[in-house]
Amino acid sequence: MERDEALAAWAQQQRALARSLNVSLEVWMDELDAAAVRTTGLTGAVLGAAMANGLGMAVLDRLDGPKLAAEARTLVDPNPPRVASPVLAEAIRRADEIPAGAGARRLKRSAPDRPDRVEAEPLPSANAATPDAPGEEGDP
Amino acid sequence: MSLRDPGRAGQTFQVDDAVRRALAAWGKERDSEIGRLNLARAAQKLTADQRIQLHQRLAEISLGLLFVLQEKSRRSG
Repeated sequence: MERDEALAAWAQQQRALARSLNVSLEVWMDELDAAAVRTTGLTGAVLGAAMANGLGMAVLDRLDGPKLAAEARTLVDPNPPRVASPVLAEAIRRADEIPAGAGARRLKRSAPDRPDRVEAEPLPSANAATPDAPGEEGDP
Repeated sequence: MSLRDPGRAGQTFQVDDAVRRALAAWGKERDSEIGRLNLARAAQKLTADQRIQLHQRLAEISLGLLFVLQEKSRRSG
């Protein structure tokens, strides 16, 4: 449980970081992917974080950059939007960040809400002539 | 990846002074809204190249933090 909370906090921090840097989450996740293959920078960052947390340099033997980036992407964006538009994708990813309104529910629903068709007797004017349809009033 | 990885030594690692200052200030208040606001302000003052560097270093630091979180949880069982 504590592990999940720490990872969730990390993911939340990444979302906030992307916002601070004025980039979309997609761009930020691409940055994480790119960082995973820059071995010098990543090694330095891991060493710094490891030392600050009382871990030794031996942790580097278990470092797998691409796998780490894939896990990071899963944490930051657990349910990737299935839309082609990057603007709409970002809106869906960020929809939960605004507590007010029903934006998140509307953006994330699988099918749009449609009014139910009501079966009823035709109204008296159903057969009246209109500019688009001749109607049946004058028919013998 | 290992410290003995032969490809690792061939890469350069540069951090501009302005980027270093922005990173240092952010590192002190990494989890707070103030820290993020200061980072946003600092990023706005950087040149395009410096901003690219800032993004790269922040991404590396973020992955480093994630890796250490996973290592700590693995050790604690």
